[in-house]
Amino acid sequence: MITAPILLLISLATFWAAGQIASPAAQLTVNPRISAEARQAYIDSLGLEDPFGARYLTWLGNFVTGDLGTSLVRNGQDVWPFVESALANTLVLVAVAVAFSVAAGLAIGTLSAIRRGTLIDHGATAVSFLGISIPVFWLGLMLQLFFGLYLANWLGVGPPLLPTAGIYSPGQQGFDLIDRARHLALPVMALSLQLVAVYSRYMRASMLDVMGSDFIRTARAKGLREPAVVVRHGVRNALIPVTTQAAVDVGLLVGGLIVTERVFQYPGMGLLFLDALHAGDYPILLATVMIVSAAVFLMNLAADLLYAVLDPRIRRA
Amino acid sequence: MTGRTAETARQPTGEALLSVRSLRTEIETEDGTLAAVDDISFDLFAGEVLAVVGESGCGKTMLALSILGLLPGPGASTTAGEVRLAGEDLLAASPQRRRQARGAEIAMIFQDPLTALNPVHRVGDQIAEMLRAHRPMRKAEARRRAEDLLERVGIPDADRRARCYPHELSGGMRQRVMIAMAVALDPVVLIADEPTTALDATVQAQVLEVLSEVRQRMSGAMMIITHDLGVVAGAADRVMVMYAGHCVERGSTRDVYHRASHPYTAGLLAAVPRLDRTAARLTPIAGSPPVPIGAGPGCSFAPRCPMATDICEQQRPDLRGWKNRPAEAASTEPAVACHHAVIEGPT
Repeated sequence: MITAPILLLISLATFWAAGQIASPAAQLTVNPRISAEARQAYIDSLGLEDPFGARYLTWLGNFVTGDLGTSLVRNGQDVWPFVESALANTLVLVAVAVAFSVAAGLAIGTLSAIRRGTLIDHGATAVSFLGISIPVFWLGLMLQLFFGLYLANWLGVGPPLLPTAGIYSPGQQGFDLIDRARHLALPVMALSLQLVAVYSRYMRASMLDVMGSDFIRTARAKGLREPAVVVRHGVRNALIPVTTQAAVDVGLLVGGLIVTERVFQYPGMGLLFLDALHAGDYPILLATVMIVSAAVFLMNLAADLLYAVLDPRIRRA
Repeated sequence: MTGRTAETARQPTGEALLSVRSLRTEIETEDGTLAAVDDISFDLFAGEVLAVVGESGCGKTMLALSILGLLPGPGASTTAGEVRLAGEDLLAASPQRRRQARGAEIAMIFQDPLTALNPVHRVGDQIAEMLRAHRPMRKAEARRRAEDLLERVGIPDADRRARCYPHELSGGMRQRVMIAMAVALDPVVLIADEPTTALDATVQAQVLEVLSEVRQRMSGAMMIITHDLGVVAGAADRVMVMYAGHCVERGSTRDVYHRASHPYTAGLLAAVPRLDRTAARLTPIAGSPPVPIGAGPGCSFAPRCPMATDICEQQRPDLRGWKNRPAEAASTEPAVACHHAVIEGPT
């Protein structure tokens, strides 16, 4: 497994960079009324002024045994609860966005390929290029303006059609699926457009390739209905290269995620990462970076496994 | 000669199963329109095997695809002629009807079984899928039928092989799978497009053996497309030689082999290695087949023909039968399209 050394390298680089941005001890927020001695004792107890190597090894030892440490700025609270809730929120956002993007991207790409050269194909191509070209932050802001302000104004209705920030309405108690889904809508749209555009392009290219294959001609010669030819023989084979491509793009998703969460004040890993970065809170910073990196590796591994499931020719390789 | 009696024994009666008249298929290319199939007519009767012979690019495969209605993509289309299956005009039929006919009434075996089979589905399922597309049948029953079919084409351990993917089978096995699929619904017409070309020489004979076995069980007719004259000699009753989209010679296998009236046919035969002759070298036909775009008025074989004269450059020869009489469009009698060849009479 090459994953472990790479993750180790990422942690070292992040740890070093976090130290370069600001001295860890300087970021510590403590009650200003405590004595300088007490403050120094606390810094020593956390080892914040130890040499770089010693600090890193201490952190690493704790991290691999499951101790993410305590926040420097959030009243010395444990890092894990912050990470836990952020991770849950992000997983929901990513799962919904990826599921939607895969479904929409594959459908649009397939339709584009089998209706090649028609208005549908040209329309999908144009929208895809828009989707790939529009930066996520700008798209997010436009979605907020449109759904949060203009649309309601034009329609002459009172409150915004969709909430533009957070995950629950103010005052909301407990879990409410409808309210949660409404808050999820805009971030999912912002995150998905690019993915839909990219997946539909991959799928279109792959489908065009597959639909020219001999086995498609065989399927037609067998007298199958065209939908069966397209789905069972076309799409099924076209998915193989698309899966590989999609796996490569998982890393790109992280960038979009950070921007989307920031724009919509969505309390997930991206927002937690940015807050920690601004505050110089390296225990949280490292925890988010490490978990997201590990997740990217896991997604790639999952894609490899899926690839083997889709293609019987490499199953035993 | 006594060949005539064998020929008349085969002389079919009644209506043709497949009847093709003046078929023309054009392909739009950047350089102009190409007639891949040009004025082809023939009849195919029950129990008969017709071989369509010619070099690569002569339009054999396009002829088969035109009959099935499976021409590739936009740009290729059948622009004239008739294809009648048991009397029904397929070119005029609805796409729905043509789909129903494919597989069930006209089936095709393709050249390369590795690319013609879908790599991600088990071979048994690929056969079962076809059965279910045409007959109301439960999945389990279709699977069982698929195994029976695999057994019928000589695949041992059919139940185990049915669960294999194409890449797990040998080339010969894969072509047997294709054959099993093609004969699954006892089609009226079976078209085999170069069924042995992609296979090892050692396997070719086995596959031909399987083909001739399934043909004997079939009630319909078979059209075998090949450039291998050895295949023709062993398997076909009649031969049609194609060159640049045209039929240049036709007749019983015996006729065409022994007489080879057309210089092209003679050239093809001279290029075949034979054990009973001691010629040190094979004689290839000089040049390569023309691309039939904007062809001149003359015979398309003239540029490569050793017998070509002025008239060959100027006038395209019609198909002519015995003693130079104009040939009927789709008769089973021999005919040749050459200014310098005359079929003197029955061999």
